[in-house]
Amino acid sequence: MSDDRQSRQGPPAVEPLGDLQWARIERAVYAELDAEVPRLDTPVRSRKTPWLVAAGAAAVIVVVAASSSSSTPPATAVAARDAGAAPQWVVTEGGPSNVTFGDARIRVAPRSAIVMNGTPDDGVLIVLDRGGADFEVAPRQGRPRFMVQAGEVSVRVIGTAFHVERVGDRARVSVEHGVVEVVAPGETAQVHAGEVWPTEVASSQQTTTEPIDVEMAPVDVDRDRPKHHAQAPADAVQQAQPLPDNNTATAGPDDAHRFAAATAIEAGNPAAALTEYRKLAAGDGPWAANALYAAARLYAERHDKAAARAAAEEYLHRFPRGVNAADARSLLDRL
Amino acid sequence: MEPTDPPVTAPAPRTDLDADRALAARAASGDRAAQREVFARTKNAVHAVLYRILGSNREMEDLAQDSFVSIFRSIHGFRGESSLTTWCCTIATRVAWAHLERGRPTTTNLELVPEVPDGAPDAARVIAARLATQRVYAALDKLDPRLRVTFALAVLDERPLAEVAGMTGASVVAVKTRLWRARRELAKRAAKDPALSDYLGNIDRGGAR
Repeated sequence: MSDDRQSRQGPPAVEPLGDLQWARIERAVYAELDAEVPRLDTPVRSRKTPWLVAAGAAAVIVVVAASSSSSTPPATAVAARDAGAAPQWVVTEGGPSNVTFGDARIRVAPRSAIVMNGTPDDGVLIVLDRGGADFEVAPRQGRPRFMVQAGEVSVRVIGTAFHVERVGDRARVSVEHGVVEVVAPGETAQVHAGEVWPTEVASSQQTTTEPIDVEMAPVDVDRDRPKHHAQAPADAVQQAQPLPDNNTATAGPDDAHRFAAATAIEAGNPAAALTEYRKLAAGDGPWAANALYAAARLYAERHDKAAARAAAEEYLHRFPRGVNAADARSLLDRL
Repeated sequence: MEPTDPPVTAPAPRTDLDADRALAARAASGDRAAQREVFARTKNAVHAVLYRILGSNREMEDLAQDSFVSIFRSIHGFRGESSLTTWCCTIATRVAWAHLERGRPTTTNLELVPEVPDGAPDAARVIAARLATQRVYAALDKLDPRLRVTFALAVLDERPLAEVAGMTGASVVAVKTRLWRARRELAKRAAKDPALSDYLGNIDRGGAR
């Protein structure tokens, strides 16, 4: 805790736990891990995570393996009855396998592997480890999120039947009906029925997603960018506006609208978004700082390191105590 | 999983990330010694993030246990894009969030706070700080968990917005929006609570986000 925080009566230092408490916690953690129980019906072949094996657990994590013979066997059907917290693998060899996971039906192609995380009630993340899979998922309106991740590419399901095939860190997505949102580093796209999404991602770029514990993350229905609905109450529209950098200034409605509009078109038209950010940043309004940092971030996502560096440095020069100052420094470190 | 945000934190030096990946791989392979090392290295950070969000050690043993069980269940997925400590704190954040979503009260009653001995150095300031803290967390108890978690991480724990975004699975824009909403809700309560009002005023004067 800094002196500054003390002087302004910030929260006191974290009150530590005692050694005995930590010892109890640690023992309980290992006891719970060692007591893992089978999660799925009718496992054909188990592929326990090695650390569970070493722990002597009886957990059966992996479920499916179709015949390894060269002839194509009938698809194996497996239902995830009580999908719990432990990730569940589905691995196929010579033939496909059909899996139901909540309201989703998944057909795992031969020589493929998926990892199912989360629960149908809390949200599902399917990680395509290799190969391909067909998904048929009910519309998500009012239902928990359903995500598929293949390498650096994430697919957010809106309600559809689609196919994802992984090639290295890349992926190809084809939609049979409905629509999905594909998220790759620096790009977001909606793919509609009959369309194929070819990825163009740089394997060296980091993704901010991690295939972990979706079941622990409460479904957040407004986690996306602020949405602007003409019919929404004035208060709701106001809530959707991000806070301008200078809290004491009054943001002009035009600037706020322009910033939100630029944010909204980032994925589809990043060049136009950058132009708008630069225009806002050139002014001295309360949105200038936000726009300047947004420009730096977007340049970086588009691999324009020189422009990103220049924008981040300009931000720190003009707004050394801005809300994104730490982010700008972090961005410069990464460039 | 927001597409447009920068990575959660500035990357740790490659050698550190390599060491983290190696340790995580050993832990995932069932090496109990490695699991103990992960536990020892990250327990204080995990505890701190839980404490900042919840405001007390009540139920801390259960939540720390839940956090580490989730960590070890998921550690095979650790890819070293951030430090192992940050990754563990992200999971702890989600555990705390899930706890709040279940609607359990978290505020410590002021009566349960240890007494400060008379004559202790800065006793008055310590007492005032505890009072303010109790007021803040009582107010946070009334907030939507999304707002509370965001406020706790960004303001009380003073984490960069991008890091908060990564830890909460939201965009930076969403984090700003939630902070704005949290401040607005807290300001309403502060109008009737001088201790809370003083605390929030100090935050603003201190330039916290």
